[in-house]
Amino acid sequence: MDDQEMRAILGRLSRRELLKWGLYAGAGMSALDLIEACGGSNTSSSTSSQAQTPADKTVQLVYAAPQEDSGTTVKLVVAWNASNPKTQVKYQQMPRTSADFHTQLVSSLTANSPTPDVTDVDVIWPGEFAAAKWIMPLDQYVTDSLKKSLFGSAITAGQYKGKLYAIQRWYDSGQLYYRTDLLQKYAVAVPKTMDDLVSAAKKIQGGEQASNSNFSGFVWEGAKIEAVFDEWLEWLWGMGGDVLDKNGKVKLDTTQGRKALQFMYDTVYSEKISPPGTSTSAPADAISRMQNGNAAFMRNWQFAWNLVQDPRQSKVVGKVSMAPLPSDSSGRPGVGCTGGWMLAINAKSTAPDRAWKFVEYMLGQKAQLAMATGQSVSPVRQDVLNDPQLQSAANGFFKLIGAVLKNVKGRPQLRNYTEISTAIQPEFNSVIANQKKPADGIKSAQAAIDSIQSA
Amino acid sequence: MAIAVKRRGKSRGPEAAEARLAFWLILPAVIGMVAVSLYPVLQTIAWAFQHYQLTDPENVYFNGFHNFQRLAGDPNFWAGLRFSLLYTVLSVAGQFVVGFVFALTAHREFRGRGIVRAAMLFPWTMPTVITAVVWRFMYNPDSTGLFNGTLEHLGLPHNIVWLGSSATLAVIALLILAVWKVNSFCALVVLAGLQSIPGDVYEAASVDGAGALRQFFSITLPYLRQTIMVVLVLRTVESLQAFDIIVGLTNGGPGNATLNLPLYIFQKGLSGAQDFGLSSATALVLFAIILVFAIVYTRVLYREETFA
Repeated sequence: MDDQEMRAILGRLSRRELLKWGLYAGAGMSALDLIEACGGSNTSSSTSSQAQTPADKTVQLVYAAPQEDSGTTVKLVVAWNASNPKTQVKYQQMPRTSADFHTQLVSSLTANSPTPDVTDVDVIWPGEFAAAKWIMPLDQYVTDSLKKSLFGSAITAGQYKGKLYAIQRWYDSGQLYYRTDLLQKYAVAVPKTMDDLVSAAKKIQGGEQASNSNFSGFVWEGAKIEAVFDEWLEWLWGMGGDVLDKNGKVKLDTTQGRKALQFMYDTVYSEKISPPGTSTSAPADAISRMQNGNAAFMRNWQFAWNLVQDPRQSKVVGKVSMAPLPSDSSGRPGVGCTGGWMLAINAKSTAPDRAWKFVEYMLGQKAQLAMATGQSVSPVRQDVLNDPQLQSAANGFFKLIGAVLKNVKGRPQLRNYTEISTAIQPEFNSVIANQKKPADGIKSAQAAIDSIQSA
Repeated sequence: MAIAVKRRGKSRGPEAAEARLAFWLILPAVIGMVAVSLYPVLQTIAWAFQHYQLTDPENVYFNGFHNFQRLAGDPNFWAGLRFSLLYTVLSVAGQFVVGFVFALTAHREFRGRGIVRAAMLFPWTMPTVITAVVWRFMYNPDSTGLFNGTLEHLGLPHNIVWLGSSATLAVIALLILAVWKVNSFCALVVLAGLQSIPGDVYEAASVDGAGALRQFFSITLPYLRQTIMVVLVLRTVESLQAFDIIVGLTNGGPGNATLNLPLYIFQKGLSGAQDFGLSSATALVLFAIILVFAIVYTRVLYREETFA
């Protein structure tokens, strides 16, 4: 790590500040206080002075983002600091796992800390943070030209009660992985509709099971985890349904809602294209079946791509491709559910206008390209995705993901998303485990979240 | 912590100085204990009667018994309570019976007794959450799982979904793990108890013509009463608090079939709702249940006039 990188992480620490840190640490101050201390001079100034920061004043911002190994985030911050001497940014490395990041961030935000000024947020947090007034609306800053340069869902996924609170920084998404060799062998086309998927999976499974009793047509995640709700959303959206009613309340028990869960149930118990163990299947389990050549189709997240194309652990390298998920009719594009990280600005930040400039920079062409190449994650800009450097990248990921990203959608932004999702997961999982019929599962899930929504 | 500091009369001599010194020496430890155990307990009690949700930081206020009313109206709470009790009764019974048999076996003289005793302890020494995750792999629904793989080799039906097809099967799978994991702890404590029974009591009994069964019920069990109480209290308290073993194996699934109160507390307080009020209220309920169990055990098993 060279001197500049060191500075990006530590910020511009004066000797006095270093001494203060040492004293805090020595006095056994809690991590929380240290986080606040990181704000340095910002902490002392009044939080109500959110007006324009004078252009000539030097400002120190803190940007919180998950730790990552490629060093891309550090490089991006160093580059920003070099060309913006008046707005210096310190990169506060946060835990890699979303839950730990959340715990740490929420402790600073509940303490009204003005830092981090800019923070990465998991796609399911903006509703919670906006309801608590921890992050600020960004509508005043977003220009039409910025909107046009991003994929539509990069903006819509961060809206809560009509206002924009967070913008996607990079995407994860759900899509359909398929075995190109098997589709060719059985002369079936890449399925565009759910019916196509069932018949194609049945045909291939019927043929392959003669020699491999462990073979399944279609594998997906039915365990009691977040993904089971996300997949239900994908089938629901693919049938033109929506999960929020006009009052912004979560409504599962609708015609399409019941159909979506019925479809998931049927793949295991009526059509039998998915293995009986789907009720305990997490993303890694589905990937392992795909890697071992035991599946024709798989619904999974983006990270699965590198794993099925890794010759050290996969028997199907070069035989897998991906496409958008199917929908209920060929006229409607299938919809993938998004994941990944978004950018938001702390409502208590002392320099929100400068913070926004940094957000804009992170969404810009240069930063997005550096991030896509460095971290192998999906950019939120079509022009970056079209970049020849990405299009010709070795394992073909960026070539295929563009078609998926055209029709992705974010999960609903709710004040208590995690609570609602945690209540839904066991109900859906009991259906996948054949403990409840789909219609009953939807009913009891609706009852569970109604009691949360009315509390 | 009992440090005998007695004031005799009004002596102001070296003893009083010693007492003062002792006070200052103990103080840091007392402050530490208050900070790490008393404070959290009081805080939990206070939160149980408050509307306190991290996601709603501007509205924190006392709301009486509202959290308990919400618990009473939540079917998942009742399911969690039922499963907590069911799991505790069955797992403690299983661990105790199996552990007792192992202890009696290991108490006898035979070649290689040391190795058997060490091997017995092995499951108990492994970290619970790791064991649970490894067992989850062993219960895998396809042939990569040890159980299904073995069935496949034997030519038997081998697509059993152990943890995700029926509630009963998942509970049985969990109990097998719980008994396997902890019976050796019961065995260890019981074995220690067995070894403290003087051999001449048995000799006297045989001289009087008592058979093995009579000796077991009239000597072994009465002598072990205190030991049994310790084992049962410790195991019951720990089973009521079981968390890592369930999270690692089933995470409360399928559905909510293996959701117990600690998991419910975690879901309401930390992983999902961030509702510290509700989860503190649940923690108080759990505390009350543990207290009842402890009192019952003490009443039934603890008597002053035991031997020794």
